[in-house]
Amino acid sequence: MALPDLFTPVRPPGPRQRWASLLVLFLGIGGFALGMVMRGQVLSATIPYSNLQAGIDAAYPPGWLLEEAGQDHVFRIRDLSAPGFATTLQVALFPVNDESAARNIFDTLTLRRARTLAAYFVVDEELFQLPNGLLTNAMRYTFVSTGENPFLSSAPVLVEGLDVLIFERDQALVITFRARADSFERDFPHLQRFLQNLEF
Amino acid sequence: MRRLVVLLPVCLLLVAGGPLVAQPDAVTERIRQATVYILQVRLEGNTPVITCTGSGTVVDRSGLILTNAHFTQPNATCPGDALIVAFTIQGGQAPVPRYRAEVAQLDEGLDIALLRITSQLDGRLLEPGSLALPFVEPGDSDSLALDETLTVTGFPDVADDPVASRRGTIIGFSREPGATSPFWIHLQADIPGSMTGGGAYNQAGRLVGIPTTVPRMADAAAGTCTALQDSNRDGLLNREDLCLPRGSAINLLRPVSHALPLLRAASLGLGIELPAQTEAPGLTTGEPGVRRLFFAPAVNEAGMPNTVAARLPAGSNSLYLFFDYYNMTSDTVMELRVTRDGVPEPGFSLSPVRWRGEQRGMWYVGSSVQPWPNGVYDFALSLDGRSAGNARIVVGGGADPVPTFSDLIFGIVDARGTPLGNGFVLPAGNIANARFIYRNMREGLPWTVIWYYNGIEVARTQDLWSLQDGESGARTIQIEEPEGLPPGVWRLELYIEDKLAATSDFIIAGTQSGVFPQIFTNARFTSGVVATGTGNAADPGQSGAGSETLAGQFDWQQIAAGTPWRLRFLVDDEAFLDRSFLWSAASSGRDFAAAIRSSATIPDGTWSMQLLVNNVLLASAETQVGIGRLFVDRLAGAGGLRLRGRIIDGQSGAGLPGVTFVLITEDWSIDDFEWREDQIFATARTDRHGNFEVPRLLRRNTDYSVIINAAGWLPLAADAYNFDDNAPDPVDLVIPLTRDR
Repeated sequence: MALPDLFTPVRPPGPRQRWASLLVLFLGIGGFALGMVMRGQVLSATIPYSNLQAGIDAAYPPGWLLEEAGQDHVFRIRDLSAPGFATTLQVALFPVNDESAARNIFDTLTLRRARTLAAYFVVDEELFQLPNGLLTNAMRYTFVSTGENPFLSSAPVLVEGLDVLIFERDQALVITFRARADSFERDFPHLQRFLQNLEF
Repeated sequence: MRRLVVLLPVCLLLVAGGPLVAQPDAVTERIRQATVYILQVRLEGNTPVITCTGSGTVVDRSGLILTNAHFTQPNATCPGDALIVAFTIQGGQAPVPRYRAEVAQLDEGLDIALLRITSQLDGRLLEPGSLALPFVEPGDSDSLALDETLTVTGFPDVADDPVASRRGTIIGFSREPGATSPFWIHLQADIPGSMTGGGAYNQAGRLVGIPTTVPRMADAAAGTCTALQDSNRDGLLNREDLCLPRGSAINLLRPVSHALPLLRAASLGLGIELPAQTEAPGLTTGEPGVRRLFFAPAVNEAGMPNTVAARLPAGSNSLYLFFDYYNMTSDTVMELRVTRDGVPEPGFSLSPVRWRGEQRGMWYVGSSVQPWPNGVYDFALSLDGRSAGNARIVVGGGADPVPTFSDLIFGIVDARGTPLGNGFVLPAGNIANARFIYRNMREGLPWTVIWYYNGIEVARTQDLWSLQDGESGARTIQIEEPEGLPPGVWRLELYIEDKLAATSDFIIAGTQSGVFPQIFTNARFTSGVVATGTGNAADPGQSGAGSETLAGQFDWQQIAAGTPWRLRFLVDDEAFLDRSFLWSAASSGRDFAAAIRSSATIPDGTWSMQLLVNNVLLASAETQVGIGRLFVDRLAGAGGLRLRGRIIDGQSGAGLPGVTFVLITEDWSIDDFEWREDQIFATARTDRHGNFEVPRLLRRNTDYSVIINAAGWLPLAADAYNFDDNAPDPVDLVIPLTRDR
């Protein structure tokens, strides 16, 4: 068996070969950059939403289910691909007057939810910074989501929610974000992007 | 449509797997799921104690449950005040409590209640429309025939028994006042009392009856009840604890046709408010009882006996037991035991059931569609467990030419002596005429005429029959009062040789309008007026849409207290209230108001009110609300295909929990789908084992589209998802997903 001759000097690459190597390198880098751009576009892609009656313009991620004119919201979007509990963003309007305070709205929400949500618990009320830098009130809470089909053995899911309150003239806008408690922080950018695009 | 990352062909998406739970019969499976166990409970300290139990049937996807009334309302036998609904989660296992329910509609006399599931077990309210339960549809109970086989489904015991079915054969029908259709179906079957309130199904799987019996008073010493819980918390489970009453074996079904008005009212969210005057005049005092038991071979259109029979010829297929009753309430429990030559006849007997009539009056129970074999029949009536009356009749032999009176009718006579009018309701006047048929009379035969007014004898005539009138024919007699016959309930009894030969009640009420009485006038619908005597409001007409209340109003004249009358409300020609009362308002007045209240707004439809006395329609009113037709609910039918399955990891085969199965309506394809809620037919989420069930029934030969989009897994999508007529029901799918690496 013949051993390779490791000591024979290698002929340096010619100009053509060098250009070819550089081209492959540039193509690789360019392809990677294009992929990153496309990925960013896909991840940040949004669908515009406009509700003329309520005077709301917004944008939401593609593939989220849109539901309008619910009993307790103007519109709601849900990510059905989220395991266990559909990550939800919804917007509700409340009429207010000069004496209305954040507490009044949060109390109303709490009393209503305590009748329909299992183990509903207000974690705290806090200040929340909007994308434009303004501080507003928010309420953080948890509840347990249970399946509605009595014939399936669905395990309850702990859900965390955040209500962001924005007063605007004679109305209060409540933006609600809900996700599984164990993925709440990971999904939180959805709320931030939603708020960036929200016009009221 | 935002394109999905992966679009797989149908063949890869839908892999039909074996059934998750072996169930060869989809109808049986659906009935099993729709049959619920109902617990009536009350709090003893902080401990909920079960006070009564029964079975029920889900008859609407939103959670309406049809069951008996006797254990849904607090009473002496069942003192609880809350209702818990338990479902069979796994076949072959005992039911599991899931929800709380409230009474939506109730008829204590019919012993029928419609419950509505309103909250979770922990008291949290359910959001409207959040339930999509499997349910069964009512069938046509009026078309049932003798010897037909029915399947009764319910919970046979208070122990660990799962839902069970018993087959039985129809051996009789019993009729009572109030309708031409039977009020009871007699079944030859071994049905335990705890199945009361469940469902009886025909061969097509349609609900046709409600097995019904009233449990005996709980008496631990007598062994008529079962102690389930240590209710007094003394550490022992014994006779000192609250005892659960047990019903006797069931041989009766309440035909489901009698539940339809209640079901309609509950489905439409309607409540009826009647004025206080419809309550019984005075309190019922004393023990309930019966008297004047006699038999008749037929009943006329007014619910009166055509004659009085002491014997029936062989081959008879119609016999009714009549009796007068008094001091009855809806809590009174009646039982009728019929024997033939000393042998019990379940085809004619009534197991303990609730009283359906008024406080007092004349009643009958019997049958006209089944043969009565030859023999000596003994009828024994019991009220609240006490013997109340007995009667005997012989069936057999030939038709003897004995003297008889029959076919009494009443009215105002014309010049030829023929009574005119409606036959059983006369206007106030000086004279009331009665016409009857006589047969086989003999010269010199003593006969007697007795007239009663509100139960008191007011006139008696005794005479000997004269053959001037012939042996057979028709004859008219009359009662005259120069100052006028007062309004009220009148009765005529005819005797031959001191034996009751014919009898009938008739009503005098209202003023005379030709030969007819004018009792109820100015019948109309109004919106907003809900109190009797508060005056008129505008006819709702087309503008009634949006109102929460619709009131049926009328004026009345010359009705005596205690006069039986009947109020019927219909929408689009289907009754949702049909009740009888004893009149208890002033004898004349205006603006009697019966309010129909809606939980939302009065639905669009054509609304009718009918006022009857002695089954004679005397006045009616009709109005249209909105478009004049009820909204057609596409989801109301229980027909269709069940779709369920399991979503698994394609590699390991393990079930994937929390994955959403999205079914898009036939109007949209995957490419057209824009992720809008109104494009979705149904969604279902897998449970901890990966199992799911679509909460709506699919139509066959309809193209649906499917999307399964779970984070971490390659999405699946398919168009033209169609089940033809040969597809099994339920359809069980196994759907493998591929991990997205």
